[in-house]
Amino acid sequence: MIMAKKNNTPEMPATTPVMPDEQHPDYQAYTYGDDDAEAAAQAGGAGPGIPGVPQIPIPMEPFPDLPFPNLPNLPLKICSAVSGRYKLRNVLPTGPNGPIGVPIFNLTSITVRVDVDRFYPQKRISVQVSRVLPRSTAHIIADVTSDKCTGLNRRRIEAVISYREGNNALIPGERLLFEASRGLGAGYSNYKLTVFGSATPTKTYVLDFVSQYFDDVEFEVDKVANADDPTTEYQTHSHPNHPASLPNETISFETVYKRAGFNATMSPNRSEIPISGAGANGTWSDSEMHNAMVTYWSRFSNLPQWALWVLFARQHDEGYSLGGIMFDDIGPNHRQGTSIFTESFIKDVTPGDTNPDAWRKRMVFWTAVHEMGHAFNLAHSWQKAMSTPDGGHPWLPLVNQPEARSFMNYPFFVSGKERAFFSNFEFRFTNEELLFMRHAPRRFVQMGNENWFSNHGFEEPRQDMFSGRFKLEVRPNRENNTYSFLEPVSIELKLTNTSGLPLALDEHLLQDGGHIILFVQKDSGTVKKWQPMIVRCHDEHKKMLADGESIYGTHIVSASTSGWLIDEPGFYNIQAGVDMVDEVLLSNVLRVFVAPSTNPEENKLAPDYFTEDVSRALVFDGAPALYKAMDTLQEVTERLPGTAASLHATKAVAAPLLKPYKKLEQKDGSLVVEASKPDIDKAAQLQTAALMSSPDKAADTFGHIDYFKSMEKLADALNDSGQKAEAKKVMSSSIATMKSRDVLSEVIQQAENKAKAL
Amino acid sequence: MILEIHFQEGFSHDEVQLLVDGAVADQATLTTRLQTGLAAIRKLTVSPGAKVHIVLPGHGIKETVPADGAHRYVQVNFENGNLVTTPTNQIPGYL
Repeated sequence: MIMAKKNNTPEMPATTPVMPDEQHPDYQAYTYGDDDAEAAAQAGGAGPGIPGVPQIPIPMEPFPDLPFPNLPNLPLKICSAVSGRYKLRNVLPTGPNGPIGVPIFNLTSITVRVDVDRFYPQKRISVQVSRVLPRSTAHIIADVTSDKCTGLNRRRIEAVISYREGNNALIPGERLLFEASRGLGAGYSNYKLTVFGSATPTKTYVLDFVSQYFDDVEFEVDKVANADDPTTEYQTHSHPNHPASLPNETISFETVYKRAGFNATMSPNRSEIPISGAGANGTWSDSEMHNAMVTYWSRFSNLPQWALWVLFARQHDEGYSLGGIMFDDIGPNHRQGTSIFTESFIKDVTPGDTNPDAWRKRMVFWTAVHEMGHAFNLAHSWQKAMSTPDGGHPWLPLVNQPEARSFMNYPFFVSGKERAFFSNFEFRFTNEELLFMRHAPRRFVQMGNENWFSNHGFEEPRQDMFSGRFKLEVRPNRENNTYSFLEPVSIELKLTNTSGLPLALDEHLLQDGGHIILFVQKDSGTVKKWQPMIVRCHDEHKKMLADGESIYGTHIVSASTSGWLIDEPGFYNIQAGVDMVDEVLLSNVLRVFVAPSTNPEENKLAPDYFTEDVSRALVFDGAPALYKAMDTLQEVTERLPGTAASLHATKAVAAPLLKPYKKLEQKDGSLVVEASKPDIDKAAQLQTAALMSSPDKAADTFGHIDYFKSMEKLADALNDSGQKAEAKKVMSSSIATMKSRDVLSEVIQQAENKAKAL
Repeated sequence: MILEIHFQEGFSHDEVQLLVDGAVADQATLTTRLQTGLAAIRKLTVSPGAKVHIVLPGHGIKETVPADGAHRYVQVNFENGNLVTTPTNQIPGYL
């Protein structure tokens, strides 16, 4: 039977409004004066885990966020709430005439979660750092030790790091200082985070406020045709058994999770699922629900995402005993779906209860929030300390809380059972649960349970994130930045010690492919990441780099493992980054122009040329096993003589002929390595034409490093085959070209020494 | 009469046998699902006065199950190497 697909049904309006945040007794909208360290260190009051200890809310009048009169001699120490999510500020690069708007990227993203006021403050600051190259993340949580309001909306919060996960080097230090201050108006406009360490440099990050919530999450509620209508709201005083201090309001899934720190929204997509999805028995197995989730959830994806599917069904295969389950421990992405069973024990009202309808509605609502809590990876209150032989364990050492008044405890498990539970249940999670939900590494919490990764945009890196010890340049090493249509764009990297002191450095850093990253953006379009085709693993070769001294590397940036990044005319922005272990160094942005084709032959060859195999053959200086690619390059040499592309093609066609080229061949049912016979004369003829007939043109298109290395290889091959005079001629040409192009004197000296030794 | 045995917390790949008057009436390998705190529910049809035992051969444990007809459900938890049985007439619930 074909089941109806998603439809859109509007949200049902609440019958009683939810209490505005500012009027809620648990909401802290303002801080007055200085908070002492002891108070600052105590998170969220006693929390709901200790029944009988009343929390004392401090109601505060709403404070208008308007320009405040300057009253002389009257220090105003009133600070509005700062809790929420912040991110590292994006700054446009500036030139002499202001922002130049050239897009460049940021390899590191930072998200800061400040949790000191609003609902149930946990007195924590957590910082999440993600770096692209090499991909690495760090997460820290710091306990607030001091929270001071030093003036009208001038807030200063100090914290000590108590939890670390991931790469410590991304954010070293022991203490944090978060500062929020106003600008011209009365509201906050400046935010910054400073990280201090006894053995690490102090670093300051300028932040932008993102949201008062720590993360966004979307819930989609669907129901099975024969299940009761979903209960997504509950009026807190509809049942007479409630805490005396509990505000009378209609709360919803969104309300509960917003107060837990998430910007929870309900999906407008709702589906009614036919009972046929449950199979012949009419009850639901976990796999049947998983199938229904895949079919009906508008957001389903095999990816981690802040989204959850909530199904109201009639009954599980397990029977009447199962009131709800977070069923999704199937496949690679867990915790995406949860269900509530309306024909189960949760409808059984305690005998003698005076308001059975409200009791039942409360229990269904509670169950739904409970199951959704499992999707945030929350365990039951009595399982907090549990480890399992299968590798399950708490994120922090935790203690069980069998009496907790939490959505994650069973009301019928506590002393005095449901009546006792709901008499002091405040429809919230415990502080320990909130700490986890708000501040644990996000992959622990996010539905889909995978590593968090923040995709970067083209953003200006904060200069204070970098030490200034080195300077990285990306340059074409030719007079102009214009390339012809099929010409591979080869760039040169230059890393210079600018520290004023000699520094030790791995001399292969720019060349080995394991420490650099390149980004290419066509015009203002999508940013593509260059992946090297060759990554060399080698012992670290540290060399002392004197102040002002540089190391170099070169790469064909057009060709990446993902294909051609530069394959059509237009302007391109290229930027490089290099992993310096304790920091990522970024280069300037190089803007190059690829000219349109002026030769119809180029357009004819382009479809065969812009293939992955051809790019490999060019990068590897020939790849005889890639027959079609080699044929294409041969065609380029014949049909486009004299062009930059033909120089590259000729070098790639000829290079395998310079040496006994090894091939893995199948012979008599087994694999053998066979070496082809070199053809030095032919190779020399081709390469001499490509490299030496117009040396400047060749050095321009190959770049100095590749060009002079190729000349040296050619000289070596000629020398090894006994053609010493020809070899010397090659080296002489190379040296002359070096001198005419102002190559470093020590490089020329090395070439001259080699020529003499031939 | 029907006796419902609810295996709850503490089971992890544990082989469990249910004996009725010395004969194996059911057996399974159980693991508690942490989402619910439930490993399995097993229903036994037993005569009044029958002797019901739970055996964990891998742990050398044999525990008598109250089956006097006064209770419909028996909750079984495996705590600190011991089986703890709790008879009840209220249907155990899981969430």
